Amino acid sequence: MKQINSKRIVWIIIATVIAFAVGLKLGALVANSQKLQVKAATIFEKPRVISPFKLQTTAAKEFTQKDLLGHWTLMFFGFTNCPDICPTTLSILNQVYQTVEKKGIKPPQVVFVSVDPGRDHLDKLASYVPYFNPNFIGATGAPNELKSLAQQLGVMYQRIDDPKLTPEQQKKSYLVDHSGTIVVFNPQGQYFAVFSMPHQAPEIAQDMINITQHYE
Amino acid sequence: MNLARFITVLFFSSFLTAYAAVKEDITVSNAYVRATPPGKTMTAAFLKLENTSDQEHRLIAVDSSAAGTTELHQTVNEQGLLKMRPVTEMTIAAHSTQELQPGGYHIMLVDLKQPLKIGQTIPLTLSFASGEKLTLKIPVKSVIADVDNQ
Repeated sequence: MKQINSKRIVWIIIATVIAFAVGLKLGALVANSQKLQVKAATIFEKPRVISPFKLQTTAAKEFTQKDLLGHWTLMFFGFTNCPDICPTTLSILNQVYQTVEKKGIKPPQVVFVSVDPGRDHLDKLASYVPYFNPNFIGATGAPNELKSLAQQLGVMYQRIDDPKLTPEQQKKSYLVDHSGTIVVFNPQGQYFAVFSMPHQAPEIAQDMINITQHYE
Repeated sequence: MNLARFITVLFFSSFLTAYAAVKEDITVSNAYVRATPPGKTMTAAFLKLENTSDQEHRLIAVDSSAAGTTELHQTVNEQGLLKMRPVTEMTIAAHSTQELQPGGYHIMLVDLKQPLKIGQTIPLTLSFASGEKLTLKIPVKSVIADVDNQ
């Protein structure tokens, strides 16, 4: 009798272990089916830690890594004298923001970083950026700060002077080539993903909804 | 075909070409200029040019009295780096459409005399290689609208 009982216990243990293993496997399968789906975003295998940076949003307010914490952030680099790509992208970002918000999900913080601090003074950014959405943040910084941040994010920019202009005219009138990518930071302030050109608002919005919900 | 007849045909065909009218061959649609964000004195205009004729037309200049400088520009994406450059001309091939649209060709208006507000119109002149000009009045639209309409 005693022996039967201990045999039974062994069987129960074996059955439990098998059931547990099957359960784990099933669980993994279910988790896999709920894998984060994105259309336009390129998500890094491991979010990248970036070194501290310091930008200015207004004369009194700094924008640092701390401002990335606790929410998703979309960052775009450009300049306000850009008539085509920058207004287009800021409008797309506004549409993304509104679409995410309408879904009842906390929309990402959107930051427009001017890589033209020589002309884009803080007061100019403060009137330009909210035109596209009152919640958007306009920032810029010292050339070395901008360069360091952009380099870490794989963002390029370059001032292009018109040789036909006089040096005096060149101070005012030049173009800035820049990357069109939208950078995504996770709520831990790490470089999480990137959206490459061309941008489509519905795709970016859906990706941000999926990303936000996946990590809730 | 003897040589004299060939030359005659050639002469008349060139004569016909010279008389081809941009006004009849080119249809302009979807023309608009973006309203200016606060503090900005420059913006971009976009439109669609459809050439329904058997010959190509070349847009060689753009002008608007609303701006100090009006230029034809093109944004090119070179390995992720966006470069906006003036272009000297744009060809509209026979039976084809050229669209000036965000991220591609656009008309850049610099040193605007006053801010452009939604609901206004501005004059725009398109000059073609044939020597002809098309004069348009184009509406000012919100930059947000052209994204919503995509």
